[in-house]
Amino acid sequence: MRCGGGKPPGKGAMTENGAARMKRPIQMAEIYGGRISRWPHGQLRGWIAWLTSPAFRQALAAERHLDRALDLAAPEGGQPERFEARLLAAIGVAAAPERRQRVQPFGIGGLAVASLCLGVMIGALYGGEALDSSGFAGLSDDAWAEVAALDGLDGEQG
Amino acid sequence: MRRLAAGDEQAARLLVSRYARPIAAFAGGILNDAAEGEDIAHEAIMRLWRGAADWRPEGLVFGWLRRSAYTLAIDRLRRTRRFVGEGAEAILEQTEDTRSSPETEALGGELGVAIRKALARLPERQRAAILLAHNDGLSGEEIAEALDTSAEAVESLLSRARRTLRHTLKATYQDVR
Repeated sequence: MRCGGGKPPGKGAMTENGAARMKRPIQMAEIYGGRISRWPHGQLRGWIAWLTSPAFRQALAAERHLDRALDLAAPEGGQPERFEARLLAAIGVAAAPERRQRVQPFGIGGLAVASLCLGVMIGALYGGEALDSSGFAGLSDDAWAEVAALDGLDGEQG
Repeated sequence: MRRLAAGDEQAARLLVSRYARPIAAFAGGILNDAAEGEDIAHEAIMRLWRGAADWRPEGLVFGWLRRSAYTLAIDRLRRTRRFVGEGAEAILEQTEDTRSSPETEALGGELGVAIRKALARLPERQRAAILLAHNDGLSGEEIAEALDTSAEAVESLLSRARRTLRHTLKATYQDVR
């Protein structure tokens, strides 16, 4: 796959050359959608310089509308737990029994602290638009913050 | 895979817990039916499990499962079409009937129904590509491996799929470009 975004856009009117270079990042949005944290990670570094371009941001915002619609597209039905149990049974392995956790006598305070820690961990792992920065090694903190902020702007009209 | 071939229960559980749901979701997306997706995932994982002893480490397990699920789902789609005899539209009408439940409304309402209908009308390869890119976050190369094509072809599939979806939804929803 191609990679690299060329020089970042300067201020003022975009030159013909700049417009030509802009084609690829916009094309990327049209291929992979408006949430750039979901783009193939290797592709992102090259385009990070374009984040300040209004045309690019407009393209991203427009694609995010479709992304939001696609979020709703999961087919309904299915019973994941039963499905996994059926599959394990077919392989000849019993499904793991439900674990019942007894509350140990740590008191309400201990339970609350444990719940809070668990909540924070789950939130960090599965939070709505939580971003995984591990694939973006090499991006500066500023660039990473820009990506995170931009991806969070689902209501942005561009 | 060696542990799986040796009948290691923990390896079997890991296989199921790691891959069963994403593969079922992928196949369910292609077939527009979650239960059918589970059937496909079941079959793909059973094939992998039965062939574990002969596994050659040429690729990733997940990649193999995705390819296998894609082939199985497309086969099933084509068989169903032949059986129905009226092509995709007939299948679409069947699936639409099951979508207008209170549950549907709660899960995404009108837009959810509209996008599922629009996805169901896409050519199979475009649908598979966009599901893998959007839901699983796969790169062009990974999608290409699953669909047995080139990364360039995948970009074209994705671009055409998104263009069609935008166009289809635009008529109903002004905020979708």
